[in-house]
Amino acid sequence: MRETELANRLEDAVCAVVRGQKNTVRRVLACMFSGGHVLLEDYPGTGKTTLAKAISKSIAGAEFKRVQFTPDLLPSDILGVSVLNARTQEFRFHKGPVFTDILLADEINRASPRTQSALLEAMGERQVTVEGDRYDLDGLFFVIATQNPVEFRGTYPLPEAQMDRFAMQCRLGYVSAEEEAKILEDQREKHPLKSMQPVLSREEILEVSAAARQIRFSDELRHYAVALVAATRGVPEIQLAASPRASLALMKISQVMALFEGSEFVTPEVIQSVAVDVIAHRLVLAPESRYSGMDASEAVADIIAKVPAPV
Amino acid sequence: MESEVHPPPRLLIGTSLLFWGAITGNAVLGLIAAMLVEGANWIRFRWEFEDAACSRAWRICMILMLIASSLIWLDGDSAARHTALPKLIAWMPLLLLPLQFVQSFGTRDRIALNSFSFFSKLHRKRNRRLGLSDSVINFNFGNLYFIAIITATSLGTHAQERIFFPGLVLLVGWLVFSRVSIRPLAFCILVLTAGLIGLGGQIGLRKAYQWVDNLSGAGGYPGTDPTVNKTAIGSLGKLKQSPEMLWRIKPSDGKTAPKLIRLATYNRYRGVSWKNKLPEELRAEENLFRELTTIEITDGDPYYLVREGMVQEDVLKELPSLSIRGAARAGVLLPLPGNVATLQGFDLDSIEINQLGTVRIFPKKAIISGSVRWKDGATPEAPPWPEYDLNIPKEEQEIVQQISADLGLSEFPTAGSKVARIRQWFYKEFEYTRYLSIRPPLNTRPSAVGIFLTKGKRGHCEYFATAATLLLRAAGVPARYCVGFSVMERDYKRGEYVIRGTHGHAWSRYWDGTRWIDFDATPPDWLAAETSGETKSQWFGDSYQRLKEDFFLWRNRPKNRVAATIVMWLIGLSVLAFVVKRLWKSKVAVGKEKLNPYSSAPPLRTPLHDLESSARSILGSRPEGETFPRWLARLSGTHISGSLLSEAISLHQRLRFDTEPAPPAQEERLTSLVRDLEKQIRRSGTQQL
Repeated sequence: MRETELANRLEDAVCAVVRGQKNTVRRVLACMFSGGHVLLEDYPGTGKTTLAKAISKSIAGAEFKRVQFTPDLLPSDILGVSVLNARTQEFRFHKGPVFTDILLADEINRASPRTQSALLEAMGERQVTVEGDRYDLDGLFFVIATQNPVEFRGTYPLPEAQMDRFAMQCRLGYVSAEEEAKILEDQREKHPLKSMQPVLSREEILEVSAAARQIRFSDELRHYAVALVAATRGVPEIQLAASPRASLALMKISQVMALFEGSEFVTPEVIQSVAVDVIAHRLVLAPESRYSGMDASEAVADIIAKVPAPV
Repeated sequence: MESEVHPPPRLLIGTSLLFWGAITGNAVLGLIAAMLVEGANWIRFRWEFEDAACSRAWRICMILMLIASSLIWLDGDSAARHTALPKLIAWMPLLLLPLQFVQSFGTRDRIALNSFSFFSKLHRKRNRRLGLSDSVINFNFGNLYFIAIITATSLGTHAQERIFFPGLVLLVGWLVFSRVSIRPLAFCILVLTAGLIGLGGQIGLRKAYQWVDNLSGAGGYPGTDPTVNKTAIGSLGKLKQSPEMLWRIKPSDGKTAPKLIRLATYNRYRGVSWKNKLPEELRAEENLFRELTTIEITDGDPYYLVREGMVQEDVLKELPSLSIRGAARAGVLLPLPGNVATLQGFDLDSIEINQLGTVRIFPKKAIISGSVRWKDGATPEAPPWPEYDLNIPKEEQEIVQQISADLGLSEFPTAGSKVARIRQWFYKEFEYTRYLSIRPPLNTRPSAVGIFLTKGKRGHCEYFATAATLLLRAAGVPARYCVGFSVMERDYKRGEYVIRGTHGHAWSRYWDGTRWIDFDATPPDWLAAETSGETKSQWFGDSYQRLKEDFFLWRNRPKNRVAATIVMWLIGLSVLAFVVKRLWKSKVAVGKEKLNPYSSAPPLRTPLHDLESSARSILGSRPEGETFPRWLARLSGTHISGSLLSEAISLHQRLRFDTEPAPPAQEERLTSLVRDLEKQIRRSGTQQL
């Protein structure tokens, strides 16, 4: 399939720069192809920003903007601001960095919740409303947000509504010693990002997205995906369960993952493989389970093990 | 998050319940319980039982246990208190059934241990509120239930039979086999070895028990055995008797009661035991006891005649009577006045008497009650046999003859005057004590009775009765030895007499030429020695026993019994109906979901599914959340070729999850792949063995 080949080409290009993270790279790209947004959460220096930059550089004609989130960042710094034109005595809207194809929201949890929320509408509805005027965002609008784990100093945890708008949350994690040695070798002369060439056009990305939507997803698996998400509800350990947005994301991302593997249909294994990353970050655990050392990923893994898989 | 729990293998609990039913003789109940528990394998609905439901089931179990305990208590005699706990445990499979029901028909495979303790639940609630972690022990109740069944079975009535032990070994082996991975042959050998060791241990234990039992000798309160009575003559120390209330006697006029009521009579003294010895011609009869004849005079209960032709029928009703009430087991000796004529109103299977007038009963119920009539001059036993009733053992002969001569017994004309002389001598010169400090010599001459008569002159009733009997015999009066109770404790409030273990007594019975007459040689001050002050616990025990016996008899009256049965059935059925109704409302159907939870259509099957049973024999059953291909993939490399399997898996997925129909060639290819894989699995399976 041509689209599989395109998707894999992009993946290979990014993987050449972001070493040893093939699994995560594929998930992040799957988010992009499915039309969702991704949140990368990990410790500083694990390559979150590099990954975002590498993706934008591999796509020809894609506009890339990055916003470094800081505590004093204001909503207008992201969305844009109306400025009075002294000559015409009229207000003119200056578009903010949100009007782009790929937006890197770096260290998103350093900004105040008010600023974080400014992204809500843009991510959810692909439109921005400023002073009552509505502006549509482009077909390819992909937010890669990064954050340090919330336990770190000087951070604001993202509001639950914001978390739900991310299709996936991925962790990069530390790479193996061998891979880390290769990273050093790569960057001996200059950063490989510098020499990156686009491998895909903006139109081709949209083409892959369209193809992914054609991946067959049987009625039975639809119910299975819904059952996985529904199993988070009504459990005493989980205070805030996953919404239908989660099952929707689960379906779309499973389709892209199947496309990556060259399959024309989705299998339960694919759903299981992405379910933790798609569902876990949307959950808020009850205090007692949080303090007893459980985390949301474990809760979802447990659900996967319990909900009967279609055989 | 949660560790794995292991429920007992399918059908094990049902089989154990059937085994329990067979061994304890409750086959129908066992079958019903087995069907209820194992029905979960076929019935397609379940309940979402939470921890609260477990606690509720536990409470129901406790209530059932309480009811069972009180039923056992109500049905038992005073000796039943030792068997009450085993009886209760033997019913455990039914009493714990509610919990097993929650386990079998619940959607969860585990029960939290906290559900069983009120305080633990409180603690957990507090921990949850404060957000503290708490560790909950979860377990599958089936295992505990299995242990309860096995324990209950071992207490069953047929547990002594040969079938029990092999059955036990099989059931436990079954459970263990489901848990360990071991080759079947090796396992069989292990189980057989363990079984043989267990059998050896059991036989050894039984032998040891018999040995110890023989060594310690027979116990029991005096008069339990109608053929032999081992006295405490010659033993040192204090005689110990229980103050427990044994019988209650109520004279019809509220006052006149016989002084002595007899349990058994013996006629031959050897060693320190009194025995029952019959002449040759009577001894030939196999059964020393014969059934009493009955006579019906007017409507009402028939009269048991102690001796035929002894009393006229028409005067029966005018005779003085007393009612006697107490706990009795099969074959127990009934305490009766020496001149008893008839018995009436006892609920008995049979009543028997021997030649010496000892009456033995086989009651239908644990508590008996009835009336006894007596008549002056009546004698239930046979006239004396001189060769036994005048016999004095050799070692006693010298001293007894000597004393008889000293007392000048031969000069007294009648048996009555001889008795009076002996009584006078004993009352004047002897002292009653239950504490004996004089050690009898190791050789038999002079014997313990000899020392008592010549030197000690103090002893308990067995000494007096034995000595008096022998003295009478020396004087030519046929005499026998009786054990029973002295009627001494009068309960004025209720107009009845109470017979306790401490009232146990022994006396003589002599033949005056026409009849047998009681003669109590023990000085009357023994009564004072015995009736020590009543303690609080004694009062409590008496009231408890009175209440229990009276209630038991009240309940056993036919009218009351029918009413009680109807009330109990009504309560039981309405509670059951309530529970069933509530359960019926809250049930969840899982039948269709089990087949295919995500589609109304039947699940698609591909040839790969045929591998499931052979794979299961190696991998065990598939965890619900694990997809079929992933589960099979665990075999790849070790048991089957990975490349074949991955091709088969991709074909399977194509056939199974692609909504586009696949070309038939793919299914054929998969079928042939599956055939190869099946062969590989089987080969690796045999290699493993």
